[in-house]
Amino acid sequence: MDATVVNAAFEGLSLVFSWPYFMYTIAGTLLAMLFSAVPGLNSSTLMALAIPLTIAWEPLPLMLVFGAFVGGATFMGSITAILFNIPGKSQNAVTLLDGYPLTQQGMAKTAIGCAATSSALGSTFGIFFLIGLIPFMREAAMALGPPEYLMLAIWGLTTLAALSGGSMLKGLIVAGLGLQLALIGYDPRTAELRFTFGLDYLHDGLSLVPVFLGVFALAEVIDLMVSRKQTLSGKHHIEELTGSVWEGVQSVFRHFGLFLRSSVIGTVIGAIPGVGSSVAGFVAYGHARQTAGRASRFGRGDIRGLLAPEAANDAKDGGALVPTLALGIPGGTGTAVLLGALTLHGMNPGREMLTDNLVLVFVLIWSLFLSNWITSLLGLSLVNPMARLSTIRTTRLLPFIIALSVIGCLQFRGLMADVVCAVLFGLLGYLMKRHDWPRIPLAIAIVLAPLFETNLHLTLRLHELERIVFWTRPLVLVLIAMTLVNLFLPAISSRLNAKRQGQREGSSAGDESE
Amino acid sequence: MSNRPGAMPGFWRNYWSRNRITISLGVVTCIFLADSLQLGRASAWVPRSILLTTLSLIVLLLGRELRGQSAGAGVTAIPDTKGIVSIVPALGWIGAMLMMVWLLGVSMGLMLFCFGYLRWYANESWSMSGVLACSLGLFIQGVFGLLFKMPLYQGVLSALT
Repeated sequence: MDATVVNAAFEGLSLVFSWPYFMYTIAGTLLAMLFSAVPGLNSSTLMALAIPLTIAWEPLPLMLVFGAFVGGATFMGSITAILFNIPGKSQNAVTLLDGYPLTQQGMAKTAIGCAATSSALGSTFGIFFLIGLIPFMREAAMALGPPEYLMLAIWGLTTLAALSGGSMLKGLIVAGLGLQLALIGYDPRTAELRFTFGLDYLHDGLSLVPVFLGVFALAEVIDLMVSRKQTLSGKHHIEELTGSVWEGVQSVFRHFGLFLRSSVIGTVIGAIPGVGSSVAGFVAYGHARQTAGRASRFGRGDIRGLLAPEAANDAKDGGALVPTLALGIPGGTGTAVLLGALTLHGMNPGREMLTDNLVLVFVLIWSLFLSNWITSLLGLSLVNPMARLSTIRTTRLLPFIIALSVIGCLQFRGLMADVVCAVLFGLLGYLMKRHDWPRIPLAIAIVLAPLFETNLHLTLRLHELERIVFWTRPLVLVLIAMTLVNLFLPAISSRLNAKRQGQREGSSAGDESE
Repeated sequence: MSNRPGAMPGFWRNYWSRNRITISLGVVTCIFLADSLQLGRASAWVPRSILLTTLSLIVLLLGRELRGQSAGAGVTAIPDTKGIVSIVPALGWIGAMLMMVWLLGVSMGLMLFCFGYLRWYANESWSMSGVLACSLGLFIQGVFGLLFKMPLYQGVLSALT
């Protein structure tokens, strides 16, 4: 491995474990755990709230805290899934399939022990995979020019639109909306004002802070206000838990092959932009089920049905950072907000991030690693108090979350208009959530728009000057092909399926008539 | 109720209920497109390309929904009007919060909002609402004012006095 990378890795590691920086990771992890226990809120909400409050921070504590936010949230969702049959996040939906039956059989602590160990080891796998890829990511990022970045932005947007859930057409429309909102303000080439509608506030364009706070934090607040959900667990007290934690820990080593395969699945799926961690968990669960013998008790409390998705869910965090850090294309909602935070701090993922800020990249990675282990260890030792967090009444927390959002907006530029803008985006985010419109492409399009527009103009200029020939660059052609696959494959495959279905129905009708 | 196009206005009411977000996004895109007519040629082509692509996709989605609804496919969900009605009080409270913060500043505005919201929206007791509102005020002043030393927004009324 490159000596620069090794040195940066050790420097990052020593920074993460040095005083007082160590405390940033712990505080970030605890906050992420707390937020995961509140219904409707998650680490993305926390990150959106933290962006404006950390705007004046140095990059080092910022990386520590955001690394901890990414890593600290996943496992708490598993606790509520195992104990109450309620997934804290969508990615934990698969955890409850076998986790809750284990609780019903009096093995709650065994299930939590297994989930915690599997999560910690899975995240370690994903993180070491990421570290192993960094030298290649550096080389790849160095080889990219404006045409490749332009195509990457387009490919990233189409991938996110295609895979972020629901209809692909809706995803593309939302991405288009995000791009048009990002065009507000001065044209970077001609300095002409665009789409300001006579409002001075819009001259500098829409800021990421109110947009992210609105779409990811206030949208959840409005949803909670409207739904009047009381507590995550629906309970006001928690009974004493039974089972053996140690037995759960041992089960991971008893099925170590399955654990490794699930971690690989999680890491690879995490690295695909927009696929999301819920997919990783379900694919790993499906794999565990397929490879289990006939005597398996999947769905009725098989420990393997818990181990596999937990490993995949946490391994995906490392994988999701690969496209985020190397290409500036986020793997999911959490990394999208992280990308926004990095951009606001003047750190551009890609070449710059992997050369000038390599130590900070490792700080982020080690902080993620540490927070995953802290979460799992706390989960093992403090199961009962953690479970009690899910009995906190949401209505009492909401004013505090609203206060954080308002102060965050005002702290950014001191403009009351930013708060109004955040509320409007909150309403938009709420309506999108309620009507099953994906929100991630909107946020990503706003983040990727400058990359898209700048590289579009640069590419066209270079093409005019005959410095480059767009159509003869291999990576550009590959990315064009991948974009076309993104756009047309779902339509082609659904047509083929419909045709096959029609043929099958036709042949069965023929059989019946005979 | 029939879903045939001829069965007006139920068909179109249903269509509007199911596609109001898409139609609203189409209207927003058209407004942007109209505004782009004022732009010079050099500045206009990128926005117009994006806007026209988005508009085409919106039209495609609306057309697909119309075709699906005419064929009777995918019309299983009854339009949710309750959701729209239930958002009004929540938005009212958020609007009131904005007004209070603008007039009274962050600390006082959010404390008053917290008290009112807990007492009358969340039906908490007077004492609990009071305690939590005071805690919020202390939290804001303690964490942001004293610990982070952030200048907190004071509101327009304080500027007048």
